[in-house]
Amino acid sequence: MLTIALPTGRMLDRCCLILKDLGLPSEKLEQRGRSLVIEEEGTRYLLAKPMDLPAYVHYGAADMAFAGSDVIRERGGSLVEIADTGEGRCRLVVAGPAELAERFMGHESGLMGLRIATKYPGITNAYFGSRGIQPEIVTLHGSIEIAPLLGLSDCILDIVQTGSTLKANRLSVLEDVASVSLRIVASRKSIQTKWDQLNRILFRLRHMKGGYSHGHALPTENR
Amino acid sequence: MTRIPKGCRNYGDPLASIMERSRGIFLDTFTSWGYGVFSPSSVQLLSIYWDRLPSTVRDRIIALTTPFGEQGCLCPDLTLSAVSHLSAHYAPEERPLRICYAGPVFRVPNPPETDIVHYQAGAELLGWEGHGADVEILCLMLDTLDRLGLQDAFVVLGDINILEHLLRKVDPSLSATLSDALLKGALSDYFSVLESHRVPEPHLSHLSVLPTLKGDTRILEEAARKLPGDTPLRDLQEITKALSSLGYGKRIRFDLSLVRRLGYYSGPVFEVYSPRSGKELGGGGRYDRLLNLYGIVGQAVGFGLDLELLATSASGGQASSSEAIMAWTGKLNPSEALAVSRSFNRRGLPVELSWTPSRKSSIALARRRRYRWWTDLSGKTVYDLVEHTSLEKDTWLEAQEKC
Repeated sequence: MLTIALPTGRMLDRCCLILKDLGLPSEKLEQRGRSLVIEEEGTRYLLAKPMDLPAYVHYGAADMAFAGSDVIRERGGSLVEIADTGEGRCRLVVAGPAELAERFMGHESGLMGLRIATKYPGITNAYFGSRGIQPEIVTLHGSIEIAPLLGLSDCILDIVQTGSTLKANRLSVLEDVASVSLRIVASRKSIQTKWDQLNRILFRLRHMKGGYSHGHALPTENR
Repeated sequence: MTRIPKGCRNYGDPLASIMERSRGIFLDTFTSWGYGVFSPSSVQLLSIYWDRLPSTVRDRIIALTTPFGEQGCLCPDLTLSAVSHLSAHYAPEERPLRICYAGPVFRVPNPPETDIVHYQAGAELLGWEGHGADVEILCLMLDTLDRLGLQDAFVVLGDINILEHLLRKVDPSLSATLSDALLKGALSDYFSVLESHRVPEPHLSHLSVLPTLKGDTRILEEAARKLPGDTPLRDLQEITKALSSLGYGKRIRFDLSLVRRLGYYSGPVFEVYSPRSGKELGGGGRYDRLLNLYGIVGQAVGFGLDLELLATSASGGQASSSEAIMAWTGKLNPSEALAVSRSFNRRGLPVELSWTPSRKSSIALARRRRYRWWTDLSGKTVYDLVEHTSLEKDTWLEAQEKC
């Protein structure tokens, strides 16, 4: 049985659509109610908080998961990223009041001690740390955009899709950190033990209209 | 409330006992095949590791300054300690050298892991050329796993030379990016980079098919068909042939794009998994390049397994004192009780004395501690607390001895 961990929240419906397109069972999943474990025609779905998905796969509780590349980068784990679905595209950026732009354009020493509100403390540390900048990180779990307005931080590191929330809170993008999209990750063990099943999924992903994956390279469905 | 540092753990029973038993079985298997036991210091000189580990592992070293002012670190890798020891203590004519060990390794954990200490059991074989060394190490490792009750554990084999052989045919910067993507487990990046760099055929097809070559022994035939004729598959073919003839054919799988995070591997590599553990039990491979760094020319192969994962997999996460017995002393005085209980102990049967005056409390305690067997030392009967039956003490002793 293939165990797939899916994110609760707004991405779940998109995941259901992808699963359907991939020919995986999704009927019970669409009528899930409050169940967090759903078994359907040889597939078990686990519904979990997006931030917890990498851990499910890392510890082998799930064979694979649909997780955002931001979450994968933040939470880490020994995972194999097997495909980029191309869904949920957005950007991970540093944003702040326009007057801060000058500091970002100047020497990096000017950013030392910068106070950054984020729900991605790991990424923030790594991003600024790799440039020798030691920021002060304020970890929040939501409504990050209001932190500079309230004097809680100088700027934020967060995901942005259209930029309208940033604009509404008088923030602008100061630096691009990474592009984000919904990825499929698998456990190192499942890659070895369930490769045929995973390869079939990747094959279908490649051949779907519009193409969810980069996947040039998966030449045959079955060996 | 007493506590220990975050990231550390005190092991108690039953896990500690199972880990100790696993360690014992591991060392016993290897020493019975001529491997010497090596017991490295937990504190090592930082210089041994600094230049010989890739930056991803180097960043995880826990460095310290010894009371004598030397730059040290908590041992982050037992293979390096072992090779360093062997290179300094044995002359070239003494090779091949065989050592086994079981001890702690210390690393800054990668999230979501939090443990900074792991107990590892491993073995190294230096100075025997050819795939015979790989077969010996793999066979003894599988023997050990069998003895631990992990007959369903399996090995995933790969060979670093295959990837390197294919990458030699493309631009060096692309080669480094592809290699790095595989190392990071970023298959989607690997394929995406391949697409965007317009790699000419047939190299594109070869590099594209490589990560999909995973599965049972038929993969080697498929690789021979789909990869260039000069691809170095011979070592894997020979290892597979030898292990299959030893009865391990069904426990070998292949991943021809397998790369290991420690940068010192240079030939066939492997990872070990059990259906009872979600994570890799361990792994290893050939590391001739590392030997070169120590000024030794020749071949080396070794591996390490996580003792805690071995123990939890072997016991299915549970442990019971099924072979041990709780003996109630009743009204016997201490010298009489100890004299009688020696009859168990001398036969190699673990026994715990229960000094409580109450027979009922003694049985309750045995149940709480998950003993299967309980006896009254002044009587002639042994009680099976699981099956709710009883046996004559002599009959039980005979049966246990046969076991």
